[in-house]
Amino acid sequence: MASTLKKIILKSCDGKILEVEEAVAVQSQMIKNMIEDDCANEEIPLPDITGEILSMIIEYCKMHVDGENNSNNELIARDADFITRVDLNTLYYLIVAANFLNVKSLLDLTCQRVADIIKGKSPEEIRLTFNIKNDFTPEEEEEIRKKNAWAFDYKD
Amino acid sequence: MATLLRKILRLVGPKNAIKLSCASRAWRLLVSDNRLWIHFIQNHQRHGDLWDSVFFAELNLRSGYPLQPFPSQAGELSFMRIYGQRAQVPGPGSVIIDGGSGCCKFGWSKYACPLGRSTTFLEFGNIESPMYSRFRHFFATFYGRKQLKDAIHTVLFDMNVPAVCAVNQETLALFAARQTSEIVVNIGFQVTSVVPILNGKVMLKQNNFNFESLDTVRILKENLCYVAADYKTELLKDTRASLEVSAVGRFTLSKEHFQIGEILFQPCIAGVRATGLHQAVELCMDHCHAAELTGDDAWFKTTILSGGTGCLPGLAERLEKELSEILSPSLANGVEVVRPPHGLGQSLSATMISGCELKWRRLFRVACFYGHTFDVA
Repeated sequence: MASTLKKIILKSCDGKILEVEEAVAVQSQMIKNMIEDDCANEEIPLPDITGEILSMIIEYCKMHVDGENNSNNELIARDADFITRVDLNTLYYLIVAANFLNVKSLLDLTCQRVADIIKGKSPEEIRLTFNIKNDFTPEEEEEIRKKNAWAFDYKD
Repeated sequence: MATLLRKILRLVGPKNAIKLSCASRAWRLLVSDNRLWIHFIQNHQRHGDLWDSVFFAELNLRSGYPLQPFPSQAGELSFMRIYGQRAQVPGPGSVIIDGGSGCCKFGWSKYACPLGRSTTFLEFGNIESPMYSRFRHFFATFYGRKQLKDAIHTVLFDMNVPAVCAVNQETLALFAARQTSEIVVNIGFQVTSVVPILNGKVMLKQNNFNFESLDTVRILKENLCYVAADYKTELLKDTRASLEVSAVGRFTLSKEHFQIGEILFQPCIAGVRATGLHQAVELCMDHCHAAELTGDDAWFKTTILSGGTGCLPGLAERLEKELSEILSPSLANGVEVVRPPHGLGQSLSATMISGCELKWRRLFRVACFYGHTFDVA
Protein backbone atom coordinates (compact mmCIF):
# COMPACT_ATOMS: atom_id res chain seq x y z
CA MET A 1 0.00 0.00 0.00
CA ALA A 2 1.50 3.22 -1.19
CA SER A 3 -0.04 5.46 1.43
CA THR A 4 1.50 3.68 4.44
CA LEU A 5 4.95 3.81 2.90
CA LYS A 6 4.67 7.45 2.04
CA LYS A 7 7.24 9.59 3.79
CA ILE A 8 6.56 12.95 5.29
CA ILE A 9 9.44 15.41 5.34
CA LEU A 10 9.77 17.66 8.40
CA LYS A 11 12.19 20.55 8.72
CA SER A 12 13.18 21.85 12.14
CA CYS A 13 13.94 25.50 12.89
CA ASP A 14 17.69 24.82 12.94
CA GLY A 15 17.53 23.35 9.43
CA LYS A 16 17.54 19.66 10.29
CA ILE A 17 15.51 17.56 7.85
CA LEU A 18 13.80 14.40 9.06
CA GLU A 19 11.94 11.84 7.00
CA VAL A 20 9.07 10.16 8.82
CA GLU A 21 6.68 7.40 7.81
CA GLU A 22 3.18 8.68 7.41
CA ALA A 23 1.79 6.26 10.03
CA VAL A 24 4.18 7.81 12.57
CA ALA A 25 3.65 11.38 11.44
CA VAL A 26 -0.16 11.22 11.77
CA GLN A 27 0.24 10.79 15.54
CA SER A 28 0.39 14.55 15.28
CA GLN A 29 -3.12 15.82 14.70
CA MET A 30 -1.68 18.92 13.03
CA ILE A 31 0.25 16.93 10.43
CA LYS A 32 -2.71 14.59 9.96
CA ASN A 33 -4.89 17.59 9.11
CA MET A 34 -2.25 18.84 6.67
CA ILE A 35 -2.12 15.46 4.93
CA GLU A 36 -5.91 15.39 4.68
CA ASP A 37 -5.87 18.87 3.21
CA ASP A 38 -3.18 17.72 0.76
CA CYS A 39 -0.62 20.24 2.04
CA ALA A 40 2.04 17.72 3.07
CA ASN A 41 3.60 16.87 -0.26
CA GLU A 42 6.59 19.11 0.24
CA GLU A 43 8.71 19.50 3.35
CA ILE A 44 6.85 20.91 6.34
CA PRO A 45 8.76 23.70 8.09
CA LEU A 46 8.39 23.69 11.87
CA PRO A 47 9.40 27.02 13.39
CA ASP A 48 10.19 26.96 17.14
CA ILE A 49 11.01 23.25 17.17
CA THR A 50 14.69 22.30 17.19
CA GLY A 51 16.04 19.17 15.55
CA GLU A 52 16.83 17.64 18.95
CA ILE A 53 13.25 18.07 20.22
CA LEU A 54 11.77 16.97 16.89
CA SER A 55 13.72 13.72 16.89
CA MET A 56 12.57 13.05 20.47
CA ILE A 57 8.97 13.53 19.43
CA ILE A 58 9.43 11.25 16.46
CA GLU A 59 11.03 8.67 18.75
CA TYR A 60 7.98 8.89 21.01
CA CYS A 61 5.50 8.59 18.12
CA LYS A 62 7.38 5.62 16.67
CA MET A 63 7.32 3.94 20.05
CA HIS A 64 3.54 4.32 20.12
CA VAL A 65 3.01 3.10 16.56
CA ASP A 66 5.29 0.09 17.07
CA GLY A 67 3.78 -0.63 20.44
CA GLU A 68 0.19 -0.61 19.25
CA ASN A 69 -0.17 -4.33 19.83
CA ASN A 70 1.53 -4.28 23.21
CA SER A 71 -0.37 -4.38 26.46
CA ASN A 72 -1.38 -1.14 28.08
CA ASN A 73 0.93 -1.72 31.04
CA GLU A 74 3.90 -2.12 28.76
CA LEU A 75 3.11 1.18 27.03
CA ILE A 76 2.80 2.95 30.37
CA ALA A 77 6.18 1.54 31.43
CA ARG A 78 7.76 2.72 28.17
CA ASP A 79 6.18 6.17 28.54
CA ALA A 80 7.56 6.41 32.07
CA ASP A 81 11.00 5.35 30.88
CA PHE A 82 10.89 7.93 28.07
CA ILE A 83 9.77 10.82 30.24
CA THR A 84 12.11 10.28 33.20
CA ARG A 85 15.11 10.59 30.86
CA VAL A 86 14.03 14.15 30.01
CA ASP A 87 15.45 17.06 32.00
CA LEU A 88 13.33 20.04 33.02
CA ASN A 89 14.56 22.36 30.30
CA THR A 90 13.94 19.83 27.53
CA LEU A 91 10.56 19.05 29.11
CA TYR A 92 9.52 22.65 28.60
CA TYR A 93 10.36 22.56 24.88
CA LEU A 94 8.71 19.15 24.54
CA ILE A 95 5.44 20.51 25.97
CA VAL A 96 5.47 23.51 23.65
CA ALA A 97 6.22 21.28 20.64
CA ALA A 98 3.67 18.61 21.59
CA ASN A 99 1.09 21.37 21.93
CA PHE A 100 2.00 22.88 18.56
CA LEU A 101 2.04 19.54 16.75
CA ASN A 102 -1.05 18.47 18.72
CA VAL A 103 0.19 15.07 19.88
CA LYS A 104 -2.38 14.59 22.62
CA SER A 105 -0.89 11.57 24.42
CA LEU A 106 2.55 13.21 24.57
CA LEU A 107 1.06 16.47 25.83
CA ASP A 108 -0.76 14.58 28.58
CA LEU A 109 2.39 12.69 29.48
CA THR A 110 4.60 15.79 29.65
CA CYS A 111 2.08 17.89 31.62
CA GLN A 112 1.61 15.04 34.08
CA ARG A 113 5.38 14.88 34.46
CA VAL A 114 5.56 18.58 35.38
CA ALA A 115 2.69 18.09 37.82
CA ASP A 116 4.51 15.14 39.39
CA ILE A 117 7.66 17.24 39.77
CA ILE A 118 5.63 19.96 41.57
CA LYS A 119 3.69 17.59 43.79
CA GLY A 120 4.80 17.35 47.41
CA LYS A 121 7.26 20.23 47.15
CA SER A 122 7.28 23.21 49.50
CA PRO A 123 7.12 26.73 47.99
CA GLU A 124 10.90 27.06 48.57
CA GLU A 125 11.63 23.80 46.77
CA ILE A 126 9.32 24.86 43.91
CA ARG A 127 11.22 28.16 43.55
CA LEU A 128 14.52 26.32 43.52
CA THR A 129 13.38 23.72 40.99
CA PHE A 130 11.82 26.14 38.52
CA ASN A 131 14.15 29.05 39.16
CA ILE A 132 11.31 31.33 40.31
CA LYS A 133 12.23 34.61 41.99
CA ASN A 134 10.38 35.27 45.23
CA ASP A 135 8.91 38.76 44.83
CA PHE A 136 6.74 38.74 47.97
CA THR A 137 7.71 40.76 51.00
CA PRO A 138 8.21 38.56 54.09
CA GLU A 139 4.98 40.01 55.57
CA GLU A 140 2.99 39.20 52.44
CA GLU A 141 4.32 35.67 52.33
CA GLU A 142 3.53 35.16 56.00
CA GLU A 143 -0.04 36.33 55.41
CA ILE A 144 -0.59 34.10 52.38
CA ARG A 145 0.65 31.11 54.30
CA LYS A 146 -1.55 31.94 57.25
CA LYS A 147 -4.61 32.28 55.01
CA ASN A 148 -3.92 28.96 53.33
CA ALA A 149 -2.71 27.04 56.35
CA TRP A 150 -5.06 24.15 55.47
CA ALA A 151 -2.88 23.29 52.46
CA PHE A 152 0.26 22.98 54.57
CA ASP A 153 -1.16 20.59 57.17
CA TYR A 154 0.15 17.41 55.62
CA LYS A 155 1.52 16.24 52.33
CA ASP A 156 -0.53 14.44 49.73
CA MET B 1 0.90 28.79 27.01
CA ALA B 2 -1.74 29.86 29.54
CA THR B 3 -3.91 26.88 28.59
CA LEU B 4 -0.96 24.57 29.15
CA LEU B 5 -0.30 26.04 32.58
CA ARG B 6 -3.96 25.64 33.48
CA LYS B 7 -3.79 22.02 32.37
CA ILE B 8 -0.77 21.44 34.62
CA LEU B 9 -2.41 23.24 37.55
CA ARG B 10 -5.43 20.95 37.34
CA LEU B 11 -3.10 17.97 37.47
CA VAL B 12 -1.20 19.08 40.58
CA GLY B 13 -4.34 19.22 42.75
CA PRO B 14 -5.53 21.83 45.27
CA LYS B 15 -2.85 21.64 47.96
CA ASN B 16 0.08 21.74 45.59
CA ALA B 17 -1.59 24.56 43.67
CA ILE B 18 -1.67 26.59 46.90
CA LYS B 19 2.04 25.93 47.42
CA LEU B 20 2.71 27.07 43.88
CA SER B 21 0.77 30.25 44.57
CA CYS B 22 3.19 31.00 47.41
CA ALA B 23 6.15 30.92 45.04
CA SER B 24 5.71 34.33 43.42
CA ARG B 25 3.20 37.01 42.48
CA ALA B 26 2.81 35.75 38.92
CA TRP B 27 2.02 32.25 40.19
CA ARG B 28 -0.35 33.63 42.76
CA LEU B 29 -2.33 35.37 40.03
CA LEU B 30 -2.36 32.26 37.88
CA VAL B 31 -3.51 29.97 40.69
CA SER B 32 -6.27 32.27 41.93
CA ASP B 33 -8.23 31.60 38.71
CA ASN B 34 -11.87 30.83 39.65
CA ARG B 35 -12.30 28.21 36.94
CA LEU B 36 -9.44 26.20 38.41
CA TRP B 37 -10.99 26.15 41.87
CA ILE B 38 -14.46 25.38 40.58
CA HIS B 39 -12.85 22.38 38.90
CA PHE B 40 -11.23 21.40 42.21
CA ILE B 41 -14.49 21.77 44.14
CA GLN B 42 -16.29 19.63 41.57
CA ASN B 43 -13.65 16.93 41.49
CA HIS B 44 -11.84 16.93 44.82
CA GLN B 45 -14.43 17.87 47.41
CA ARG B 46 -17.39 16.03 48.77
CA HIS B 47 -20.67 17.20 47.28
CA GLY B 48 -18.73 18.47 44.26
CA ASP B 49 -21.09 16.40 42.12
CA LEU B 50 -23.94 18.58 43.40
CA TRP B 51 -22.22 21.67 42.05
CA ASP B 52 -25.51 23.52 41.44
CA SER B 53 -26.41 23.27 45.13
CA VAL B 54 -22.92 24.25 46.23
CA PHE B 55 -22.95 27.25 43.93
CA PHE B 56 -26.43 28.29 45.06
CA ALA B 57 -25.40 28.12 48.70
CA GLU B 58 -22.20 30.10 48.20
CA LEU B 59 -24.02 32.74 46.22
CA ASN B 60 -27.10 33.14 48.39
CA LEU B 61 -26.50 31.75 51.86
CA ARG B 62 -22.91 32.80 52.49
CA SER B 63 -23.73 35.87 54.46
CA GLY B 64 -26.14 33.92 56.68
CA TYR B 65 -29.31 35.44 58.06
CA PRO B 66 -30.90 37.73 57.12
CA LEU B 67 -30.43 36.70 53.49
CA GLN B 68 -29.52 39.47 51.11
CA PRO B 69 -32.36 40.25 48.70
CA PHE B 70 -29.73 40.83 46.03
CA PRO B 71 -27.12 38.09 46.33
CA SER B 72 -23.51 38.78 45.51
CA GLN B 73 -22.45 38.32 41.92
CA ALA B 74 -20.64 35.12 41.00
CA GLY B 75 -17.68 37.20 39.88
CA GLU B 76 -17.16 38.59 43.36
CA LEU B 77 -16.65 35.19 44.93
CA SER B 78 -13.18 33.75 45.26
CA PHE B 79 -13.54 30.02 44.83
CA MET B 80 -9.97 29.55 45.98
CA ARG B 81 -10.98 30.94 49.37
CA ILE B 82 -14.23 28.98 49.32
CA TYR B 83 -12.34 25.76 48.62
CA GLY B 84 -10.08 26.46 51.57
CA GLN B 85 -12.98 27.17 53.89
CA ARG B 86 -14.83 24.07 52.80
CA ALA B 87 -11.67 21.99 53.17
CA GLN B 88 -11.46 23.05 56.79
CA VAL B 89 -14.87 21.68 57.77
CA PRO B 90 -13.50 18.92 59.96
CA GLY B 91 -14.14 15.20 59.91
CA PRO B 92 -17.62 13.92 59.43
CA GLY B 93 -19.29 17.35 59.56
CA SER B 94 -22.40 17.88 61.63
CA VAL B 95 -25.11 15.53 62.72
CA ILE B 96 -28.33 16.29 60.89
CA ILE B 97 -31.60 15.21 62.43
CA ASP B 98 -34.78 15.55 60.44
CA GLY B 99 -37.59 15.21 62.90
CA GLY B 100 -40.52 14.39 60.64
CA SER B 101 -43.95 13.93 62.13
CA GLY B 102 -43.96 10.22 61.27
CA CYS B 103 -40.38 9.25 60.96
CA CYS B 104 -37.14 10.71 62.22
CA LYS B 105 -34.20 10.62 59.77
CA PHE B 106 -30.64 11.14 60.95
CA GLY B 107 -27.15 11.16 59.51
CA TRP B 108 -23.86 13.03 59.01
CA SER B 109 -23.69 16.08 56.80
CA LYS B 110 -20.81 14.47 54.91
CA TYR B 111 -22.98 11.69 53.49
CA ALA B 112 -25.44 12.09 50.66
CA CYS B 113 -28.28 10.30 52.44
CA PRO B 114 -29.44 9.58 55.98
CA LEU B 115 -27.73 6.80 57.93
CA GLY B 116 -30.97 5.59 59.39
CA ARG B 117 -34.52 6.31 60.40
CA SER B 118 -36.65 5.59 63.39
CA THR B 119 -40.36 5.93 63.82
CA THR B 120 -41.09 8.79 66.15
CA PHE B 121 -42.73 8.49 69.45
CA LEU B 122 -45.89 10.07 68.14
CA GLU B 123 -46.39 7.38 65.54
CA PHE B 124 -45.28 4.66 67.88
CA GLY B 125 -48.01 5.73 70.22
CA ASN B 126 -50.44 5.55 67.36
CA ILE B 127 -49.98 1.83 66.88
CA GLU B 128 -48.90 0.44 70.18
CA SER B 129 -50.45 2.34 72.95
CA PRO B 130 -53.64 4.10 73.91
CA MET B 131 -51.38 6.39 75.91
CA TYR B 132 -50.64 8.29 72.73
CA SER B 133 -53.43 10.85 72.90
CA ARG B 134 -52.72 11.42 76.55
CA PHE B 135 -49.02 11.97 75.82
CA ARG B 136 -49.82 14.34 73.05
CA HIS B 137 -52.19 16.23 75.26
CA PHE B 138 -49.51 16.34 77.93
CA PHE B 139 -46.96 17.81 75.60
CA ALA B 140 -49.41 20.23 74.06
CA THR B 141 -50.48 21.66 77.39
CA PHE B 142 -47.30 21.51 79.40
CA TYR B 143 -44.76 22.30 76.80
CA GLY B 144 -46.21 23.82 73.70
CA ARG B 145 -43.89 24.05 70.74
CA LYS B 146 -41.37 26.43 72.24
CA GLN B 147 -40.93 24.58 75.50
CA LEU B 148 -40.72 21.24 73.73
CA LYS B 149 -37.83 22.61 71.69
CA ASP B 150 -36.11 23.89 74.82
CA ALA B 151 -36.55 20.49 76.41
CA ILE B 152 -34.94 18.80 73.39
CA HIS B 153 -32.03 21.27 73.48
CA THR B 154 -31.48 20.69 77.18
CA VAL B 155 -31.29 16.95 76.58
CA LEU B 156 -28.82 17.46 73.73
CA PHE B 157 -26.58 19.76 75.80
CA ASP B 158 -26.67 17.24 78.64
CA MET B 159 -25.22 14.80 76.12
CA ASN B 160 -22.28 17.22 75.59
CA VAL B 161 -23.41 18.31 72.15
CA PRO B 162 -21.41 21.52 71.60
CA ALA B 163 -24.05 23.45 69.67
CA VAL B 164 -27.49 23.01 68.20
CA CYS B 165 -28.95 24.77 65.21
CA ALA B 166 -32.66 24.46 64.48
CA VAL B 167 -33.79 25.21 60.97
CA ASN B 168 -37.34 25.07 59.84
CA GLN B 169 -37.97 22.36 57.32
CA GLU B 170 -39.76 24.44 54.72
CA THR B 171 -36.79 26.80 54.48
CA LEU B 172 -34.46 23.87 53.95
CA ALA B 173 -36.72 22.44 51.24
CA LEU B 174 -36.52 25.80 49.57
CA PHE B 175 -32.71 25.84 49.74
CA ALA B 176 -32.61 22.28 48.44
CA ALA B 177 -34.57 23.51 45.42
CA ARG B 178 -31.95 26.29 45.11
CA GLN B 179 -34.39 29.11 45.73
CA THR B 180 -34.66 31.79 48.37
CA SER B 181 -38.23 33.00 47.78
CA GLU B 182 -41.18 30.73 47.03
CA ILE B 183 -44.21 28.99 48.46
CA VAL B 184 -43.37 25.66 50.03
CA VAL B 185 -45.99 22.94 50.40
CA ASN B 186 -44.76 20.46 52.95
CA ILE B 187 -46.78 17.27 53.19
CA GLY B 188 -45.39 14.98 55.82
CA PHE B 189 -46.75 12.05 57.73
CA GLN B 190 -49.16 13.94 59.91
CA VAL B 191 -48.70 17.57 59.08
CA THR B 192 -49.37 19.52 55.95
CA SER B 193 -48.32 23.12 55.71
CA VAL B 194 -48.32 25.84 53.10
CA VAL B 195 -45.59 28.36 53.78
CA PRO B 196 -44.62 31.45 51.79
CA ILE B 197 -40.94 32.34 52.18
CA LEU B 198 -39.35 35.59 51.05
CA ASN B 199 -35.54 35.84 51.04
CA GLY B 200 -35.30 32.83 53.29
CA LYS B 201 -37.66 34.28 55.88
CA VAL B 202 -40.95 32.57 56.69
CA MET B 203 -43.68 35.15 56.12
CA LEU B 204 -46.58 33.32 57.72
CA LYS B 205 -47.45 29.73 58.41
CA GLN B 206 -50.86 29.28 57.05
CA ASN B 207 -52.42 25.94 57.18
CA ASN B 208 -51.90 22.97 59.39
CA PHE B 209 -54.21 20.11 58.97
CA ASN B 210 -53.58 16.78 60.55
CA PHE B 211 -54.14 13.35 59.14
CA GLU B 212 -53.42 10.49 61.43
CA SER B 213 -52.22 7.29 59.88
CA LEU B 214 -50.33 4.10 60.49
CA ASP B 215 -46.99 2.74 59.44
CA THR B 216 -48.53 0.13 57.14
CA VAL B 217 -50.38 2.89 55.38
CA ARG B 218 -47.07 4.67 54.91
CA ILE B 219 -45.52 1.62 53.24
CA LEU B 220 -48.52 1.25 50.95
CA LYS B 221 -48.46 4.93 50.22
CA GLU B 222 -44.78 4.98 49.32
CA ASN B 223 -45.03 1.99 47.05
CA LEU B 224 -48.37 2.11 45.32
CA CYS B 225 -49.90 5.52 45.49
CA TYR B 226 -49.99 8.38 43.06
CA VAL B 227 -52.11 11.40 42.29
CA ALA B 228 -54.49 11.19 39.36
CA ALA B 229 -54.29 13.92 36.75
CA ASP B 230 -58.05 13.74 36.44
CA TYR B 231 -59.87 12.02 39.28
CA LYS B 232 -63.09 11.22 37.42
CA THR B 233 -61.48 9.55 34.41
CA GLU B 234 -59.07 7.66 36.68
CA LEU B 235 -62.06 6.16 38.52
CA LEU B 236 -63.23 4.50 35.30
CA LYS B 237 -59.91 2.69 34.72
CA ASP B 238 -58.85 -0.67 36.14
CA THR B 239 -55.95 0.29 38.38
CA ARG B 240 -55.59 -2.83 40.52
CA ALA B 241 -52.14 -3.50 42.02
CA SER B 242 -50.89 -5.30 45.09
CA LEU B 243 -47.98 -5.29 47.50
CA GLU B 244 -46.64 -7.63 50.16
CA VAL B 245 -45.97 -5.84 53.42
CA SER B 246 -43.65 -8.01 55.51
CA ALA B 247 -45.21 -9.45 58.66
CA VAL B 248 -48.53 -7.82 57.85
CA GLY B 249 -49.79 -9.45 54.68
CA ARG B 250 -50.68 -8.83 51.10
CA PHE B 251 -52.67 -5.80 50.10
CA THR B 252 -54.47 -5.19 46.88
CA LEU B 253 -55.43 -1.67 46.04
CA SER B 254 -57.56 -0.51 43.18
CA LYS B 255 -58.94 3.00 43.29
CA GLU B 256 -57.35 3.50 46.74
CA HIS B 257 -54.08 4.17 44.89
CA PHE B 258 -55.07 7.58 43.90
CA GLN B 259 -57.84 8.15 46.42
CA ILE B 260 -55.27 8.68 49.14
CA GLY B 261 -53.65 11.42 47.12
CA GLU B 262 -57.05 12.75 46.14
CA ILE B 263 -57.82 13.41 49.82
CA LEU B 264 -55.34 16.28 49.58
CA PHE B 265 -57.57 17.93 47.02
CA GLN B 266 -60.94 16.69 48.25
CA PRO B 267 -60.67 16.16 52.02
CA CYS B 268 -64.39 15.29 52.10
CA ILE B 269 -63.59 11.84 50.62
CA ALA B 270 -62.02 10.96 53.94
CA GLY B 271 -64.77 12.67 55.88
CA VAL B 272 -62.42 15.50 56.85
CA ARG B 273 -63.77 19.02 56.87
CA ALA B 274 -60.77 20.97 55.66
CA THR B 275 -59.61 23.12 52.78
CA GLY B 276 -58.25 21.33 49.74
CA LEU B 277 -54.53 21.69 49.12
CA HIS B 278 -54.97 23.73 45.95
CA GLN B 279 -57.36 26.07 47.76
CA ALA B 280 -54.86 26.48 50.58
CA VAL B 281 -52.09 27.36 48.14
CA GLU B 282 -54.42 29.71 46.28
CA LEU B 283 -55.32 31.47 49.52
CA CYS B 284 -51.65 31.73 50.38
CA MET B 285 -50.84 33.27 46.98
CA ASP B 286 -53.71 35.72 47.40
CA HIS B 287 -52.31 36.81 50.76
CA CYS B 288 -48.82 37.19 49.33
CA HIS B 289 -50.21 39.22 46.45
CA ALA B 290 -52.25 41.44 48.76
CA ALA B 291 -49.31 42.01 51.11
CA GLU B 292 -47.35 43.72 48.28
CA LEU B 293 -44.00 42.86 49.83
CA THR B 294 -42.02 43.27 46.64
CA GLY B 295 -42.45 45.18 43.41
CA ASP B 296 -43.60 42.14 41.49
CA ASP B 297 -45.35 38.85 42.19
CA ALA B 298 -42.69 36.55 40.81
CA TRP B 299 -41.39 35.41 44.20
CA PHE B 300 -44.42 33.31 45.12
CA LYS B 301 -45.27 32.00 41.66
CA THR B 302 -43.28 28.81 42.12
CA THR B 303 -44.42 26.25 44.64
CA ILE B 304 -42.01 23.68 46.03
CA LEU B 305 -43.19 20.32 47.31
CA SER B 306 -41.44 18.70 50.23
CA GLY B 307 -42.04 16.06 52.85
CA GLY B 308 -42.67 12.35 52.36
CA THR B 309 -46.11 12.64 50.78
CA GLY B 310 -44.91 15.56 48.69
CA CYS B 311 -43.06 12.96 46.62
CA LEU B 312 -46.25 11.22 45.42
CA PRO B 313 -46.04 10.78 41.66
CA GLY B 314 -48.32 13.12 39.78
CA LEU B 315 -48.82 15.50 42.70
CA ALA B 316 -46.84 18.38 41.22
CA GLU B 317 -48.62 18.15 37.85
CA ARG B 318 -52.06 17.89 39.44
CA LEU B 319 -51.51 20.80 41.83
CA GLU B 320 -50.28 22.95 38.96
CA LYS B 321 -53.36 22.07 36.93
CA GLU B 322 -55.77 22.79 39.81
CA LEU B 323 -54.04 26.07 40.60
CA SER B 324 -54.21 27.33 37.05
CA GLU B 325 -57.95 26.62 37.11
CA ILE B 326 -58.84 28.41 40.34
CA LEU B 327 -56.39 31.32 40.37
CA SER B 328 -57.38 34.61 38.81
CA PRO B 329 -55.79 34.90 35.35
CA SER B 330 -53.22 37.52 36.38
CA LEU B 331 -51.97 35.34 39.24
CA ALA B 332 -52.20 32.06 37.30
CA ASN B 333 -49.76 33.33 34.70
CA GLY B 334 -46.37 31.72 35.30
CA VAL B 335 -47.46 29.50 38.18
CA GLU B 336 -45.26 26.43 38.53
CA VAL B 337 -45.05 23.49 40.93
CA VAL B 338 -41.69 21.79 41.38
CA ARG B 339 -40.01 19.17 43.49
CA PRO B 340 -36.43 19.53 44.74
CA PRO B 341 -34.16 18.23 41.97
CA HIS B 342 -32.18 15.80 44.10
CA GLY B 343 -33.37 13.88 47.09
CA LEU B 344 -34.02 16.38 49.81
CA GLY B 345 -31.43 14.95 52.18
CA GLN B 346 -28.78 14.94 49.49
CA SER B 347 -29.19 18.53 48.41
CA LEU B 348 -29.44 19.53 52.00
CA SER B 349 -26.13 18.12 53.02
CA ALA B 350 -24.61 19.79 49.98
CA THR B 351 -26.13 23.07 51.03
CA MET B 352 -25.39 22.64 54.69
CA ILE B 353 -21.71 22.13 54.18
CA SER B 354 -21.39 25.27 52.11
CA GLY B 355 -21.03 28.85 53.10
CA CYS B 356 -24.21 28.40 55.01
CA GLU B 357 -22.68 25.85 57.33
CA LEU B 358 -19.50 27.86 57.60
CA LYS B 359 -21.46 30.86 58.72
CA TRP B 360 -23.28 28.66 61.19
CA ARG B 361 -20.00 27.23 62.32
CA ARG B 362 -18.81 30.66 63.27
CA LEU B 363 -22.06 31.08 65.18
CA PHE B 364 -21.54 27.54 66.48
CA ARG B 365 -18.27 28.54 68.06
CA VAL B 366 -19.94 31.45 69.80
CA ALA B 367 -22.82 29.22 70.75
CA CYS B 368 -20.45 26.55 72.01
CA PHE B 369 -18.81 29.09 74.21
CA TYR B 370 -22.03 30.19 75.81
CA GLY B 371 -23.67 26.80 75.46
CA HIS B 372 -26.86 28.11 73.94
CA THR B 373 -28.88 27.59 70.81
CA PHE B 374 -30.00 29.73 67.98
CA ASP B 375 -32.68 29.47 65.34
CA VAL B 376 -32.53 30.11 61.68
CA ALA B 377 -35.71 31.40 60.04
